[in-house]
Amino acid sequence: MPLQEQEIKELKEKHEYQSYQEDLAFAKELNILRNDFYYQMIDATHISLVDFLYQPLDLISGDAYTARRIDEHRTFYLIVDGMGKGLSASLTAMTMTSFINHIIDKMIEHDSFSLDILVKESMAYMNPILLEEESVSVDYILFDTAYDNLQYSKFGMPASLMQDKSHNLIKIKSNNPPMSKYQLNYTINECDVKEIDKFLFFSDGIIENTTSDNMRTYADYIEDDFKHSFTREDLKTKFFSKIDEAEDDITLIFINRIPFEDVVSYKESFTTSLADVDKASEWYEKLWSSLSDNTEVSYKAGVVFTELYMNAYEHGNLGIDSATKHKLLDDDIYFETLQEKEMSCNKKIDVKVSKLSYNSSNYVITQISDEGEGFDTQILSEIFRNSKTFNGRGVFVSRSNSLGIYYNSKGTTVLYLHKV
Amino acid sequence: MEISSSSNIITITGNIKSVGDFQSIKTTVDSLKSSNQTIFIEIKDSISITSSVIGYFNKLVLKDNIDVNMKVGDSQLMELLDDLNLKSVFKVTAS
Repeated sequence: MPLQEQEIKELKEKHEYQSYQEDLAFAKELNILRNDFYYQMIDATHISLVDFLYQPLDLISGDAYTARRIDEHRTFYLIVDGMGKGLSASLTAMTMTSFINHIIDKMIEHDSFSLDILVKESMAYMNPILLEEESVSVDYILFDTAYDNLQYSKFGMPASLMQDKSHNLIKIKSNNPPMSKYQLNYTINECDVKEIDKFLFFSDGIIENTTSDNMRTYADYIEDDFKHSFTREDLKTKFFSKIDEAEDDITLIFINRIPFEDVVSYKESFTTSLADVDKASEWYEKLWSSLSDNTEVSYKAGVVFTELYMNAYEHGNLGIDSATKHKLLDDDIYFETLQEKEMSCNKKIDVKVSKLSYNSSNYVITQISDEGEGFDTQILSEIFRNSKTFNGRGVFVSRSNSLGIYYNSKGTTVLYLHKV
Repeated sequence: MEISSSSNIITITGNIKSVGDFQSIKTTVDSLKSSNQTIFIEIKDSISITSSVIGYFNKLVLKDNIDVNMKVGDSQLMELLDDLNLKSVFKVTAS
């Protein structure tokens, strides 16, 4: 083989090997990041919609996050931002996140969660790993819905933002310098969040991004944009409309607490029957005609309703799993079987709808609840990561046609939103 | 939604949304598939599609070996089919 041809072949093989290794590394990264709230809401005193934006600049990210359900009342969030970019930053962020998740697993197992011990032990673990001049920015955030309080230990992170019911913006500034090799002390503070509606935690990637006018960074806009954003999608749209391209890893956690039960305007209960599937669709369509004259949004809401109501009916109350459904469809006995099964089912499907006004925009929130066994929403992470090879198109279609879908922890209630 | 057929060509106008729409599509296509190995489906203006309809078309192609050729009029539906990697399965083209 001529020398040049040999070199090209070797280069191609090297590139393929690197690409394969990067894919493996990214898959591992996704395993390290834990998100117990994947497509979930927190249904405690209020309904909290928890959304994430995690957008690494390269496959190997210097940012990492984690979100954990500690117990019925407590939830924990972590954001880690390794110094600089590339492999070293990524190793730091991933090692730390991996360790913290392990400690949390053990604490949950022994019912002994302590933010104080978590911060102390993770610092002790990272100290020998960090390089002499390396530092790492970290947010440790713990919510307790029983006491409506938030404990935090922020190490050189941008100020987190909170918005109260009167639309005032409150900043939570770092109470520790960036974490470094020889640091021993740390501070944990707490604040009352009873009056807070929205929270935003983020790494510096978003605020240091140059905006399209080249004169300013997004730091000049984030407070105002957060104030006027009802959901993460709103904020994401505002951010990307102001920049040309992302310049760093971007990680943010957006939490919106909605007093859903206080504002429910319409509710209806349906039996588990195909006849009521039609009845529910007609009721919902009629309701939307009074809520909005935007036919496109009304149609999209109708598609989401069809998908998620059918899930409540067939997978929820009738307990038919996906494999059985496909077999019934293949054998062409799907509808007959549904009718047969519904004869012995006295479970109900409840639908609640509310319309909320926010900053001169209106949002319609729909909630569908069944009385089935529920499901683990973690299976959705596989669906959304591999949209091309999945089983569960209904959920994908629903997400595509709404501002977001959120299940309760049991998987028996789903809530979705539309802007009207 | 309205559905009409002529020979092996099916035309769907309006938005595909309800379980009833799925049943209409299934009934119409089922009546054609016994005598046609190739079926042309034109979805003129629906913005989206339900998972039951996708599942049914998928079965037509993969199990019944029907050659489905789909024409799609709306760009949002085209994008959704692309996201789901179904453009090649249903031989989707823009109308």
